[in-house]
Amino acid sequence: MTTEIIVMWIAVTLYAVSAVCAILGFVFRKPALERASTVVALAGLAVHAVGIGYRWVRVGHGPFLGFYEVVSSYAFVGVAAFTLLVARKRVLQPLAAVVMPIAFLGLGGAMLAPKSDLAITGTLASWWLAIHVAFAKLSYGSFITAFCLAVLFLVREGKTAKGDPLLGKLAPETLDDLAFKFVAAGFLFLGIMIAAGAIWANEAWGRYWGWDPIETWSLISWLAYALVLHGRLTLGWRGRRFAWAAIAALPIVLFALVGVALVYKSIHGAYLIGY
Amino acid sequence: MPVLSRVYDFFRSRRLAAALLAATAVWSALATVVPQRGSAAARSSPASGLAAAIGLDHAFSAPIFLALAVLLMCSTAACALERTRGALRLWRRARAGGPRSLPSASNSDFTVALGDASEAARSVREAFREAGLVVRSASDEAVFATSARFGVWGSPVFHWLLVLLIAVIGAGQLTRAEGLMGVPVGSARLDTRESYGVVSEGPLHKRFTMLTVAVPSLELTHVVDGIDRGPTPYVELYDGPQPVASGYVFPNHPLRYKSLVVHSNAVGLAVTLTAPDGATTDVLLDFDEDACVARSASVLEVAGPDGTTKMELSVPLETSRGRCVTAMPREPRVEWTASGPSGRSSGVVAPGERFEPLPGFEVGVGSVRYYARLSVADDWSVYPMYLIFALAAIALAIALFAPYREAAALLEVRPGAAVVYVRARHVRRDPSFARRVQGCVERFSGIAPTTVKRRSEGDD
Repeated sequence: MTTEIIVMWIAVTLYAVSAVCAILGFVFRKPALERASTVVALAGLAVHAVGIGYRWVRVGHGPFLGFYEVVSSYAFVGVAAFTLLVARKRVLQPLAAVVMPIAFLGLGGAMLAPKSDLAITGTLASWWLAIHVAFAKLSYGSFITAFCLAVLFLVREGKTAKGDPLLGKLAPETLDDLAFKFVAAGFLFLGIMIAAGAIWANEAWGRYWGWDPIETWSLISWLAYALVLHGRLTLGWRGRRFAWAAIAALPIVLFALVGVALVYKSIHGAYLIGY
Repeated sequence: MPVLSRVYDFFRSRRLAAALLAATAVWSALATVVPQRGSAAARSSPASGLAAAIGLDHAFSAPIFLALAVLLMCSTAACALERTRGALRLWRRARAGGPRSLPSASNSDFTVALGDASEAARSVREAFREAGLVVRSASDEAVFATSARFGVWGSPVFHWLLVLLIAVIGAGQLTRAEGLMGVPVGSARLDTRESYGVVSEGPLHKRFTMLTVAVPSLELTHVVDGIDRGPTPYVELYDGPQPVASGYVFPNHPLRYKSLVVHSNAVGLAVTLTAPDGATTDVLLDFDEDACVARSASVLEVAGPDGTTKMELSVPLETSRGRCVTAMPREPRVEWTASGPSGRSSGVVAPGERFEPLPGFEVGVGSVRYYARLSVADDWSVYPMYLIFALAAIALAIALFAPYREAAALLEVRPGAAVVYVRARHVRRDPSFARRVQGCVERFSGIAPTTVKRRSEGDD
């Protein structure tokens, strides 16, 4: 095994430990376990960063190409967003029970995929790649965080939670408001990602939009979240209804990210499966 | 104008907007599972009867999709108009900051009784600042504070820009022209319809630019920043005899001149044929790696006294270590086949030799060289679209993260106490904002305010 693979497996293990601590802490209402989960997640994040950085230097480009690089970097962004959020709002620590299992499964799944080095081709050699990918990660990271907050809202909502050491400090309104803010941020980032992709496509191929499956599914994701925000801002979707909408919209985005490249033959396949 | 008013009411319906967003998403999703016309998938398994009948086999130019796009644009425009009216109202009120903004006992969100008027006014001012607002006017009778006033414009401007974006995309599609032009190395083509092998024109496209597109040279490997950009033509554009633009053309590096953008699509071989009367023509051959041959994409037709003879050319490619080399062979040979009224004939010739595809009609093979297949698009809408994207992103960011908020307090001096009536408004009617202001007032005054039960949302 290479150094990079060993480092990444250590990160997977730490994420797994963090996920177990978070779930046990949540189920048995043990704040100490929740705190331990966050600390272990932070350690996993540091190790994960080393793994990504090591590969970045070795292959000469960021985590843009192939299932392994793409999904691993999304797990990284997810855990980073979670730890930043907890640093600002300690009461959100129970979020680890949703975030860390997803991060563990994401990185674990990525580790099982082929890890061959994919070179930057002439088409990919553009500044727009970095902009497009950066906003994709921000966008999907925001939607995943909104999903986790919505799940937590549904768990918390309707309970008095008096005396509950974990949920007692979490106001449903805070969760609802944060979920909305993350959906809004994700929607903005998704729009920028699509626009950057269109500009890049025009530079690389001479057309800004070709109704390629992944372009179409990106638009569908944008429309889905536009509907979620429209519902929130004009149709009064607050609380439970908004939480369900944020949860229901995420699979569309995940399909656009991972599913489309696997299901359809697309010019975008290179980024995920390398053809 | 009851009809116009009814149409406006129809389009500004929030439920209609939601339904249109959902319908467009569902239609687009269905389109990705139905083979689209002209695609390889459609040639092997064409769309079923129902899908074809409703236009799902050409989903994004079908009447249903176009109707959805137009309806969505109208709905967004109606929504933008409604939001503009609201924003204007808020803008005027925010600028005036006068008595119209002040709450009363009946329409305040909460009240609090404090010691004396000046102490109460100070606490309220501090509380409003703590809530992220800027105090616009303050006295011992009233305090008025708002967030940044440009926040009122985020949502309407975003909606107007969406309308503009849809309109510009539509106008661009109607007026653009895009085609593939094959230019043998060392020659030039005029930007006219006849020069394109494949061309698509919008119904309102007026005319081609008449610029000359020349390819003086081509590099098989062109390395920039350590990355091989593949076969790269050097392209020059001329307006009459005047050169207007030139450069290497490779992915992410097109050649631009005004609204014209030239991309390199592919390279192939071009065989120059000379007819008995001395007229020459270039036959373009595309590389077929699987068959390891460069073959003509279209069939040549030669009219004879007994009818038309169809002719096809190909150039076998070389192999290296069992792999086909998609490049000019060291000694190119041109294989020709002709079929027509006088039967079928074929042969192999080298550059400089002649062959007879039909009796008495001798064709000379001049040269075999590379050709560049250029994608030439004339679309004015691209850069305006980029600008609209950028402005829309800024407007959306303002709408979502810097929404307009205001808070107003009326101080009523009573014997022994000053009663403060506070009303807090959020442009999105976010109820948590009023709670936040209430919390800030409580923190600065040290007294828990009393929430006022509002009769209805209409109280605003």
